[in-house]
Amino acid sequence: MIRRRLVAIFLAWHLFAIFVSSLPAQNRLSRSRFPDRDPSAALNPAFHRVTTGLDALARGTEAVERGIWRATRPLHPAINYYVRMTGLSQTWSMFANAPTFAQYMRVRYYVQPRGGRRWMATELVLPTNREDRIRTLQSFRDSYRDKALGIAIGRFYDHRKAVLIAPETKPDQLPKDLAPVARYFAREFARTHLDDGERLSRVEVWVGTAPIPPLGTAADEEVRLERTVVLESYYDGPIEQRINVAPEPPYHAGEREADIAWLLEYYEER
Amino acid sequence: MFDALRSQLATRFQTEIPPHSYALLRIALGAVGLVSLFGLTPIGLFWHLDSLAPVPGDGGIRAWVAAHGLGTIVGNLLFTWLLCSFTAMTIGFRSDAAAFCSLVGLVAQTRWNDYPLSSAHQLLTVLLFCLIWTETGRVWSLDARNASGAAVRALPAWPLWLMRCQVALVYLSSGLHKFAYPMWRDGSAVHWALNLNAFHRFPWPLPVQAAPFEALLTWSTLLFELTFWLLVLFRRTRPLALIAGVALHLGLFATLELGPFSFLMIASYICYLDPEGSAKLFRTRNN
Repeated sequence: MIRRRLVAIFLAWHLFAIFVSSLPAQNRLSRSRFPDRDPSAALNPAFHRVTTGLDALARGTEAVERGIWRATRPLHPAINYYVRMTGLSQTWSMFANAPTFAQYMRVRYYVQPRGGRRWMATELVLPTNREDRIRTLQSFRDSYRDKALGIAIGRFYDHRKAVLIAPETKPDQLPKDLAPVARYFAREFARTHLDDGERLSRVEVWVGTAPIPPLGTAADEEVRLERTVVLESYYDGPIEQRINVAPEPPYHAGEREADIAWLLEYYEER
Repeated sequence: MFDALRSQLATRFQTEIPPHSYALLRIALGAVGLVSLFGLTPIGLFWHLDSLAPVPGDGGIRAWVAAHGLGTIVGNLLFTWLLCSFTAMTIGFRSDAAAFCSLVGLVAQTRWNDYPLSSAHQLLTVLLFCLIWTETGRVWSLDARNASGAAVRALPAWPLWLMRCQVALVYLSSGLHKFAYPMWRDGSAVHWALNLNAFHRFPWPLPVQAAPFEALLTWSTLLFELTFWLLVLFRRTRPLALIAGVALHLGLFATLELGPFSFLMIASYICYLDPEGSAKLFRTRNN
């Protein structure tokens, strides 16, 4: 009997804790937006009515969520501790706020030979699996690397202060979330591409974005082909540049390839 | 009404069920765990401290391990631990200990390197948490084979109910998160997701004419996730929810590369199958 009661208490607590921790956090709710809906931007009038109806319903839902969140606030420390200790994180926000742009990452290596001329190479690392072919078995494994790179970028953006987005920013001022990316790929590049007497003098991590046409808008075929050609050049491995090596860019410098806008987000000097 | 509800819950809580549902879940989760581990290879990519893993901070176990130069050894050990425990789970060798060790390994993995871990890892962890409270090796296991002759006894149903609640909560939470963002309400979310260059399975963009279809898919997904908990509550609507869920996850698998997430969600539906039905399947196969 006592055992049954204990199990019942545990179950009640557990279900309550995971329910509360699965609710969208209040700081996220306050950031949620209710944009003015332009009827002419909708695919058709019926779809516009559905959208405005859902907007109204979402406002009500949000109020209920906020109420539950506030009512259970005194228990949040205990719930958070329980969920953290048991590893039962309940954030199920997959694709809730999906990016509206394509994302890329490349790593640039500056190589200094002993007594020779400096050269550089640039390698596309995200997405791992080329995007111009149907993805089958290999993409399953590659999806883990893409996830790791995506999380590293996200955390880096969360941790980097706005004042650091300036040309004079030095590597030791930047958050270390992208450091494993720079170091891992630099090590692999050095292992596979450097000769004796050559060393890496600088490693840069560039993050690229390219627009995705909105729903109901046709993609510009010419722009799409241009991007495909640019990406094609990366697919055979790091692109080496041994003559006309550009000077090292300042922090947060930009570059453009087709419709991909690149930004230098992290670098290390050795 | 409250008394009726309490009585209903007490009955469900005290019910005993054949062990086959638990065995099926053990095999399915163990197999998906092994597939996930395969995705996390080569070992040097994610398991060593100097791999694609967060830089160790100033304190904590990771910092201590790094300071003592044990980052590679501990990473290898953790990988081996999970490989052994998932294998043992799948074949049913020391099933209960294997399930517990798998859960410990998954939680340790989250602390060790969470960079490559997606919702699939999170889902596997919470499902295993539900499974460790029961005996999973009474049938369809090496344990059962070694104990041949022993009668197959029933097991408490509450861990199965716990898992049912957990899966329903995953959908409800996911639906509420989605509902808070404008792209799910205006019908464009599926369009953005299908065009994400790191996820899409097919390289060709959908034609503009498919836009209404994409909007309908967005709203259907939202409706499904927000109402799943209600649909599985009633025996009559449960098959509809499960069929719609399988269709949704097969559609996701066909169009997006999401790692083992789709397999895992479909595997979790075993907890909604009638336990007696799973047992009959076993008897039929043995006859």
